Amino acid sequence: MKGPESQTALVLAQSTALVRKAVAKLAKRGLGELWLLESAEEWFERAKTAKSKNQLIEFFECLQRTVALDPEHTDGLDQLGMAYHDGIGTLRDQVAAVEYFRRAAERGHAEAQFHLGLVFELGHGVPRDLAEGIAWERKAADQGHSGAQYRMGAHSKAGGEGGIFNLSQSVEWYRKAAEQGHAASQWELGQIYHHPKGVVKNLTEAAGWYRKAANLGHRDAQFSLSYTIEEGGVIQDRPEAMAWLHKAAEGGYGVAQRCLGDRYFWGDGVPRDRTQGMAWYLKAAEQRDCSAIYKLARMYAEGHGVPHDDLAKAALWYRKAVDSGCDNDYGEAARWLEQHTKMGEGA
Amino acid sequence: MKTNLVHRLTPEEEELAAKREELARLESQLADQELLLASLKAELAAFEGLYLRRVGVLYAELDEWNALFAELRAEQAGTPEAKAEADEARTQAEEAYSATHGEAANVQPFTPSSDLKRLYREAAKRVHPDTATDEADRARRERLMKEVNAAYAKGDEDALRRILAGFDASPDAVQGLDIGADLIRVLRQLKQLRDRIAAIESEIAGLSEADLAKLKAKADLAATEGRDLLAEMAANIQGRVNVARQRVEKKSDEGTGK
Repeated sequence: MKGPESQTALVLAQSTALVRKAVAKLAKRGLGELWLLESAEEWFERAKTAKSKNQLIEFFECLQRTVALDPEHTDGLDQLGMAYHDGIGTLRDQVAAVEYFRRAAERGHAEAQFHLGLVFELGHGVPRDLAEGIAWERKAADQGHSGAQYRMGAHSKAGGEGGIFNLSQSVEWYRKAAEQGHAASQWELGQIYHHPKGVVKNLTEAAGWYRKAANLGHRDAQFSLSYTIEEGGVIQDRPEAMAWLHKAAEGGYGVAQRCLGDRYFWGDGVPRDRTQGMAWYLKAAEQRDCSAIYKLARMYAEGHGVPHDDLAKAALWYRKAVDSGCDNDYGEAARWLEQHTKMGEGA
Repeated sequence: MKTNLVHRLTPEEEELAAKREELARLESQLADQELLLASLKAELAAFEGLYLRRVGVLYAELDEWNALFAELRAEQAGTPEAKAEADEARTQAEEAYSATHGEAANVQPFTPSSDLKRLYREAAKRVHPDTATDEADRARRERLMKEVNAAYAKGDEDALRRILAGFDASPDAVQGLDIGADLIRVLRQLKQLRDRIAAIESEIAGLSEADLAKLKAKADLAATEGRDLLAEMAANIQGRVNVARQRVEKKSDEGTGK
């Protein structure tokens, strides 16, 4: 075919191709918008499922859809704020996080109020503003948010920038959170009754709160509980004290590991077992417990508690003390190392 | 017991017979595949028509209101950016219009009768170009196969019957005396058939990749739950059309200083 006829055919083919393209575009558009047909709640449920499967990008996208469908979905807004704050499934964007927290917080969402309080307190995505932070935390705390109550307790206990020091108020906030099973608050209450500054020392009360936190797996509380039991004679029950010390040590708490090492090493409360003692010292040293590192260094340097002195091993531990930033005020480790290196050179 | 066998086949004859059997099997298989492909295409075209009529037109309307709004704003703002946005919105509206007011939107639901399917299968088997033995034969069969496909898509049983009745026995019905030549021809036909079957398989796989096919799959799934997905989509877009229209009315009131 030549001439106008083929021209017409060409134009027709071109326009058909354009229409096909336009139709394909419409199909793509419809497919891409199907999510609009579902409810915000459905997308929020999907976000939770994705999170539980650690599908983080999917989690983030589901949250975006949740708040796109319902701009007042406070759970979704708060979670989206967290996603931006921590960079979950998206790039970290603390400024965006503040906006989402604020949108949910202003609609009375306790968790978001708590989060907004924290970002003001920390200056994440906003200029640091402790007063503003505390104001939001108080709103959340008044709604019964245990994390916020804990923070309020900490502010009252610290005083200064965060408000007037007021221990009884601190106890009041901690108690509210503690009664909801907030382990860190239980531990704080234990501390307040254990080492009082302004309240009456009450070991029974202290042990009671430590025990609650200890049962929730709070390692510091497990450790403190073991000492409260022994110290106060609250219950003359050394095996129980040892059991809690074991628990804290097994949980990886360096101080507890070192103390347990002492017990075995000297046979204090348990049959003396130097091998066990050494094993716990080593674990504590791995956790960079400075006292444990020193103990090991001195034991090898002086041949004390080990079969014989071993300067090479002592040097190793003194070196670790220096490297771990553990050296004491006298520069004991550095001095020892210097002295023995000189001697080595002299020999 | 075949004790009365009088003629013993030569190895070449045996081979040819075996290949012819295979050829018959493949022809039958190919006809099934062609039927599947033609049905899929027809169903997709029908769904496309339905989609364009029920959902596409609303997108076109939405785009029209959005284009009007962008044009009003460009008129009032007078900035090059606003003008560019208005042009873009207008192009999109025209595209959506062309998609929803063309032939594709007129394709009606496809509900083939079992007779239609049977006729198609028979015709496809008889006229299929890949059973051709030479170029002239192939050209003729390709033209016929197009007619067969078109008739099937339109649900035109009579056309299929006419094609079947008018189809001459192909030249390969007359068998040559040269067994070697016959064998070569059959082998070539076998290859053609296998190639075509493989091509259909990949074409079917490709079809389901298209957005429209995915939409159809979602709509079919929704239907099993008693939902009408296209109606839900239409309702959603209708809501947005209403908002877009109000926006235009408000903007045009602003423009006239009301």
